[in-house]
Amino acid sequence: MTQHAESRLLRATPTALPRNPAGLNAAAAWYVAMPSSRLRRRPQALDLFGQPLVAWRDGGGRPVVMSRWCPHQGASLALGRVTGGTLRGPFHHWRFDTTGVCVAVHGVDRIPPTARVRRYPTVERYGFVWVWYGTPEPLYDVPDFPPLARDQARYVGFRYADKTTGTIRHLLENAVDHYHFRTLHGLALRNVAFTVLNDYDEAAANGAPIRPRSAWFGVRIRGRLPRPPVLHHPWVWLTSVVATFGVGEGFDLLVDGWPGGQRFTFSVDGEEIYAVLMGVVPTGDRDTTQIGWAGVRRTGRAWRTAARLALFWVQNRAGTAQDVPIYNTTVTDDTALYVRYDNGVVRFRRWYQGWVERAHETEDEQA
Amino acid sequence: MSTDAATGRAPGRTGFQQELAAAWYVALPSGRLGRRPVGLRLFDAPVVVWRDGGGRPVVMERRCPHQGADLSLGRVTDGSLRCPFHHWRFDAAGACVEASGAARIPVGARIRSYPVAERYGFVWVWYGGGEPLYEVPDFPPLTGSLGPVRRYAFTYRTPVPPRRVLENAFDPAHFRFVHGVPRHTSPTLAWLTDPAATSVNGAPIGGNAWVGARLDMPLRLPVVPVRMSAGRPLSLIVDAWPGGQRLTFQLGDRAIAKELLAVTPVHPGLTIFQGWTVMPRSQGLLSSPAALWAYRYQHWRGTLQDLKIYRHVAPTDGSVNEPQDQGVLRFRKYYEGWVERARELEK
Repeated sequence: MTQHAESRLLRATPTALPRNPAGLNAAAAWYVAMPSSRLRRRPQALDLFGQPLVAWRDGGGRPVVMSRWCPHQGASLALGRVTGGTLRGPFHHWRFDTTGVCVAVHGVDRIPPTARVRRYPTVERYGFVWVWYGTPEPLYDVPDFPPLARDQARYVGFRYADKTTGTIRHLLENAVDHYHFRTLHGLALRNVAFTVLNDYDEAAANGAPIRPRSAWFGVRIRGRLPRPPVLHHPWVWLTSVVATFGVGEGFDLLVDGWPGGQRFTFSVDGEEIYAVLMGVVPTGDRDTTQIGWAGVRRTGRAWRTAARLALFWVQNRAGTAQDVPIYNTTVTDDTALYVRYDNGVVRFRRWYQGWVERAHETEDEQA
Repeated sequence: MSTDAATGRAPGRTGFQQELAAAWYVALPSGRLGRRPVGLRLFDAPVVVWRDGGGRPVVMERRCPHQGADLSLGRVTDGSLRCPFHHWRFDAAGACVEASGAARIPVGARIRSYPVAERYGFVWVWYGGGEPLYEVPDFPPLTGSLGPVRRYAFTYRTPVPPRRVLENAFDPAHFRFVHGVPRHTSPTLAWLTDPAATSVNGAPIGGNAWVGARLDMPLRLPVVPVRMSAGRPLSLIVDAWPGGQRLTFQLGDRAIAKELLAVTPVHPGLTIFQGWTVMPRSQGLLSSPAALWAYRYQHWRGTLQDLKIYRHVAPTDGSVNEPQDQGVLRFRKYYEGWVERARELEK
């Protein structure tokens, strides 16, 4: 077996290693609430973080996500209507503004001071409604993703959403677990060099740096996918060609992210092939959706771009079909064994659990 | 798990496991286990069942010790079970034989593998420590030693724990009240002390795990002409190990039917009990296909009557009883002894 030049042997006692505890185990982060297209004029009921919530658009069309139950008699605000930029409850027509504060109580002069619901900071970007969890105000911005912003014209892609019964962390640590590309996905990787990134510069291809530094985690996996003689190993040949889009043998996968999502750039022999933005819809404990956008960089020739896009779609769907059953069934409430190539996963878990801690501090106060 | 602290039970064992007897249980019918591993819940724990290179079944913990992936999604290669996620491989004993990509196999890379046997069309699994205290009991009707037979398999599911299913045969009174055996008759139960007294059921059950009883039911079979059954009372010879039992229904000295009954403790809300009913294929009405179907019908009806009771039963401590309950109480005592042994051996 190839050893990985840049992964160091882990020297930690097993008890110091991060577990994946049962429960929500959500980090303070930006998550995807829903695709933008799902939220129109009418309020929408949704469940996030195990909480019943309602999403609606204010007078300016900006999305708002807040607790679903009206503090008056507990009616579902998702049955209400948006009037004058406020959400009006269906039952007694109490109205709530975008901060979750009751601004009008029908037939009453004085608004009860406790008439407020919890609202979550919300942003709309890249065709998704993003919601912040963990602290009252966001600790960082929704990260930059050029293929759906200033570089939009250079990419063509598709959106995806896959429901799983895995944890949020399962979905996010998967890209860091480079060894599973060989085993679960059956890729014949050679000369693999895996690095946990230290410098923002190393992730520049994914977009502007994710700040602060502590909210950023990145890895880079480089290596070769050699093509054996097709008649001797037809399956290996095929998977290698498909995985490298027939461009060459040397691949370079750059992954960086924040505690709730990731950006990917994949290149072969120095040529950028595709980019991915992956977010998570954290519906509840072991109830998640990996959601995002995946697209190829236009090549200048329409047929070649179309072929790459088709190939990428197949690759993306096939890979997901292999990953999701693992997410769905992997046990979380027990300790794991770590070997040398799990170095990246261990570092990711430590970093991630740090952000879970930050969310806990605030969520406990709010509870 | 928090209840464990409250009850002072050994950590890591669920309350359900604390109440299981050391015994052979049925994991699943052999026919359900082909080349692919099968994921099951047994003893309130997730297990994977697969066949090794020699075709022998293996029952072991389902969670890969590396990152917790489900081994039932894996594949059997070279007689070992390969995890789907990072291709670690485990042998039939549960030891990791290859940690793909790791310099050496990490200490602690092993999972529990249960003792297993395959017999009578079932995969049997032992609970109660790493070594079985006795063999899977003999059941001659299915080993060919009784000559040609007619038979059928049965499977039922119930929410009660295994003991309730197993003690039923030792409860003579319920035949009258649940199964409609005429009330003027009174089935009587004789507790047996000599394993030879149940030799009609097969070779003795080993390891001091044997318990046996004889039930006499002074009644005539409804479908059998008077001259055939006259003077020959119906009796039931039952002997058991803590996870199942063998039964012979006799008319006089003649064995009409034999049964093998075994349980599968799935989780606190589910016990499966299954087995075989076998009739000798000989001359006469009592071993005709019609008799088999008549038997099967009363067996099915009787079981539905029992299942209805099981569905609506609450646990009791046995302190309120009457003389007819001796059989059940003795069985419970015997059973509790084997539960104790399992607790000791599982420590």
